[in-house]
Amino acid sequence: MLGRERTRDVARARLGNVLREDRTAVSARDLALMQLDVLAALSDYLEMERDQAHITVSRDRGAGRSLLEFTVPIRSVRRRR
Amino acid sequence: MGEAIVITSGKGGVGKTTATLNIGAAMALRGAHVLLVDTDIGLRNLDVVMGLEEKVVYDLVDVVEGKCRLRQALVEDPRFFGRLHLLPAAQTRDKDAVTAEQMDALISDLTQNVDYVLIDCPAGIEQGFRNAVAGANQAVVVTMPEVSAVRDADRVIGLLRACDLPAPRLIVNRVRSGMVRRGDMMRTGDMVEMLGCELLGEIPDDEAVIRAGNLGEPVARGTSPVSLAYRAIAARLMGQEEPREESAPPTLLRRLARLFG
Repeated sequence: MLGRERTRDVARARLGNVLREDRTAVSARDLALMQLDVLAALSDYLEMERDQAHITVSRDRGAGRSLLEFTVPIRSVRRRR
Repeated sequence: MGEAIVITSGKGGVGKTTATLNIGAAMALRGAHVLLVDTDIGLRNLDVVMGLEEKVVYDLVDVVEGKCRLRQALVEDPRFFGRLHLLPAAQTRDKDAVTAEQMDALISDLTQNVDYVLIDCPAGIEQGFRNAVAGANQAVVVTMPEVSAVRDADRVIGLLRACDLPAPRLIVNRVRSGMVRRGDMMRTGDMVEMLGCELLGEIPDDEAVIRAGNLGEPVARGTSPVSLAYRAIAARLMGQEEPREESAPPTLLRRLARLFG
């Protein structure tokens, strides 16, 4: 067992990823595009750490709905006239 | 009025047909009258797994189209004293030969005369799946400890939830306890948690299933761990809950019995 990766852990992680994508029906590619669009929409108001932005869609089966989360560190708020 | 339980999986090759036969056989051993319905039109299999292929004359499509009476199409399994019957699928037709409405009507007819109708669903989520689910009032999902099989089970569970059925229950087939111990196979508990549904039972991977398949016999009659697992599942489906195997450490006597079983 020592020094050997347990294949079950790999299977579980892969399964988790696949199920998340299937259940929310948002592909990794679409997520990446959504992130770019959100950043573009906010760029008039905020200066952000773009490379640390993070977007996820997760499924809350109990509540029967999906949840979108977008986080990004703010560098500064743009002065707007 | 009996129960109609659809046995489904999404993915092929996880043991749906074998599970259908053995749950049915185990129910019959408990005294229930059971009818197995093969809905895999075009890929008939259940008759072969049961060893009854020589006795098939008419099939499900013949019944639906009125070419024969229901009685003529039913094949009795002679090992179960009139308590286990099969309605075979058609082999030379395709899935569109029957509509969901026709299946619904057929299944509700069938439940008039038996305690349980077990519907063996074809692989996939298309017309064959919709037909198999149409007449059911309970659903069981069979999966195995593989990423692809659990993924397909999740898809099917989602589709079943959209139907007017109680929450489907899960059977995890082909579990190798040695590999689970070594960390090389997903645990049943993990799969149950990820799929978010109730566990009906776990079935060990056992050569006894292949031997029984070769002979065209149900494995549920024997004394192997698989037989016991199927009998426990049948009891649970019949609402006759038995104490779970893993709840108490096996006594020496039981261990010995298993060793020589």
